[in-house]
Amino acid sequence: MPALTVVYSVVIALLFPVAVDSLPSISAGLSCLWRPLPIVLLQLFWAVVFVYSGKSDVTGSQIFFHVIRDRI
Amino acid sequence: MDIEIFVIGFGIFLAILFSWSFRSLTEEKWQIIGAMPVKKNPQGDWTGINFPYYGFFNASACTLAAAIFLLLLGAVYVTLEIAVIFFITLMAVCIPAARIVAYLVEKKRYTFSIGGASFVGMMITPWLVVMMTSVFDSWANSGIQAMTVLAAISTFPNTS
Repeated sequence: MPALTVVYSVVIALLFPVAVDSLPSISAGLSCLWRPLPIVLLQLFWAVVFVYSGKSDVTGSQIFFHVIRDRI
Repeated sequence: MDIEIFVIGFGIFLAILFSWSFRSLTEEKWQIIGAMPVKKNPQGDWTGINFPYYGFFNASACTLAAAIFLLLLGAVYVTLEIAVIFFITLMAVCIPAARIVAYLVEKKRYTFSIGGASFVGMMITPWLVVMMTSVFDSWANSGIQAMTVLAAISTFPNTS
């Protein structure tokens, strides 16, 4: 798959040449990112990916709880 | 010179990180980050769902890549709204694709292929840009281009 992706990227680069109107600006990118909406969206995205890819389907667990009586 | 220092410094940081992680993350204590009790058994114990460190590292890597994706599109003056709509559309395809590709390639039902998700993402990204710029008039002059989006999306994890 990675090898095919490399070939595909070259074909796409030939099909869709980039029209450069102005130079990229990292400070413009940072100001676009450093706002409440993208930060909250990124937090939500982290939670979704963590639960979706992190919930184990191939392991299980048995959990025991107990009270430490001398600390009550 | 700043760029060279950044690249060399980042390379040294990654070398140290990989050196530690390849040795340590295979240890038993680095497998499960937490377990959540969901059902009490008659014996008094609970059946739980496990959350491995894999999910934590994967979510953190994907979120960092998403932040870089939004930053890079912002750097070429694509508005945040367009970048976010594009990103959500792409993820709606790529996240389920991680499981579907693993099933098709490895014939395993309970596993993921991040490489598979990345492959699907790279395949559909240019055509998604073409489709969205032709459907939405406001996108046509937004500065969003197939190759710039493809370059930005290439920061996503590509290991399987």
